[in-house]
Amino acid sequence: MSDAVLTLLKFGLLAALYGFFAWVLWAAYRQFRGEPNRPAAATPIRASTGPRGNVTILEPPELHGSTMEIGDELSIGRAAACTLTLDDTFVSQQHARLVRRDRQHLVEDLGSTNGTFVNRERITAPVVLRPGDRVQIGSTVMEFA
Amino acid sequence: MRNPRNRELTLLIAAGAITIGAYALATLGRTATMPADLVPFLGVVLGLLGGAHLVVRRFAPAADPTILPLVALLNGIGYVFIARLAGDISNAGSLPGQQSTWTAVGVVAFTATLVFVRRATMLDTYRWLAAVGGLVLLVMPLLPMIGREVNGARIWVRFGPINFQPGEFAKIALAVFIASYLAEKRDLLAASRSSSRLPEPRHLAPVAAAWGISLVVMVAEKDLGSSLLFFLLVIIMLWVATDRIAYLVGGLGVFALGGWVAAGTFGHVNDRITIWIDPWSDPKGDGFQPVEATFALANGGITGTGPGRGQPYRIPEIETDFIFAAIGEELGLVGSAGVLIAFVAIAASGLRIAIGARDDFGTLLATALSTLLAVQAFVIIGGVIRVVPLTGITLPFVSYGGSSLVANWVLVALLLRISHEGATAPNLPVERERSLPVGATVVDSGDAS
Repeated sequence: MSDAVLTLLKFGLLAALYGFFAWVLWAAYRQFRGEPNRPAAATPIRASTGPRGNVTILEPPELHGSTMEIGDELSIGRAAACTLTLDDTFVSQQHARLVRRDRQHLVEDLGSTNGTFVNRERITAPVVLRPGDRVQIGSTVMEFA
Repeated sequence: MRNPRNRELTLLIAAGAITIGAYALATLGRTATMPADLVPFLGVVLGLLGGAHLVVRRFAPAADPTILPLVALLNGIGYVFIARLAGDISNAGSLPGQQSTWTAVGVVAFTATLVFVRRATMLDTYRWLAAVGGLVLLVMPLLPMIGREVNGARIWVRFGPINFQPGEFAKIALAVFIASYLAEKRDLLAASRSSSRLPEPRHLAPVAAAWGISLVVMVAEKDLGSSLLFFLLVIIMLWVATDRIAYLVGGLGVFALGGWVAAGTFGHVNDRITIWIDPWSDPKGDGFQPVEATFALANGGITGTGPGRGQPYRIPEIETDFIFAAIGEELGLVGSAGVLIAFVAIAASGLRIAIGARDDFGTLLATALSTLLAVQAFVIIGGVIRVVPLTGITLPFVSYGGSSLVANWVLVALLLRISHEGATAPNLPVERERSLPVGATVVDSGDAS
């Protein structure tokens, strides 16, 4: 095999190497931008027509202002497996969940000991949330928007 | 293509293709014939990469898609150069076989880590076990009977037919301990910002103890590279955990002082610094390796001599500490910069994983693991190209060496575990055993208090 061919092959290898890096960079960019679990473009549209589908914690003060997207489902409880884990003895392991069905968001108590309250009333069945509703679980109060 | 695993698979295939192409080209360059074992080689590469990919698909499906292909590329390039060098070094015929065996063991260890460490918090629970285990591993080479000294560094342990370097695993165990401890105490360490200049010593005591003992042991073993790595790791973790730049500045100050004292106290440290500043003072003796490495890089130039067409085999320890010089000679500045890019990309992915981790422990552990890989690569590459004094340490995934390879595969498995958890934490529905259909009436249990 001639030197010229080997040199060409060497350049081919180096080009492939850098092509690979460009590809990795692109994959990292896609990974970073297009998180698969974030509904793309849906959020701003819904903002103008209805609830945004998130909850903001009002109490306790140390969590005040943290906002979470409900997404398809947001589970709340003392168990570490819940989406929102509350370290509060008045909260059951699997206390309640917020879910999206069609275009509505509902809150459902999962048989908790101390109950789930919407606007200070204890719920006995899943309740459809409207913007501004306040959900209380244990000593945590959050507002739906 | 929204599934990160599909992106990972295409990248893995590309990394495998580059490895196979480099292998064929190296054999062509060296012997002017195609490698006879190209088909078995292809099978082994595809088998290992495919296996690792399926494991991630099954056990960490949401993990970052770029790390495994980058690791596969480094491991593959490393193997190609080891196989290529083995043909020109006497008594080195068994190296490629051993390296491929160790790569397979590494993939098995990667699998076991992902299978058994189902949640990163499991490691958090075993914090003290990690601390004790790490220190025991570190001390093992100093014990009589099992410890062995090779080339002046006492970092080997022999159990029957197996030789290994426990320090490679100790660094991961100690990283777990420090991440776990700092995740719990970071508030206390950072809060003292307002009250006094330094946090209360008792909060720092366990970290300082682990740090001090490790450094003393590493110095006793004359393992300069690991001492340097571990020193920098602890400083960087304290800085990241507390967000106080004082730890970084102070740590580097202590580092400079320690280096100065060590150079005056230990002959072997002083030798390294002398040779770093002027290897030509002793070109046939202590300076032989760095001088030859410099010639190898110069011979390689911008694009290298081509795989298999240089003479890097004349450098001692070329297959371990100096493998970067071999890559520099045969793939040139462009190819060896590619190795650097791969490490930078892995570290960047690791830090991105740290930012997205679901808790403080995950953040700190991902930072620690990325730091271990990046600093280790920097210390040895910097040593070979004379940016820093040379300290014997492996180039992760590239150098010949079973312990290093297996330990680093475990390290990457932990990174992918943290990555998977971070990606699934915020919004994805959590798997649950009990799920009530919406619309079903929940009967009030009536035992409200």
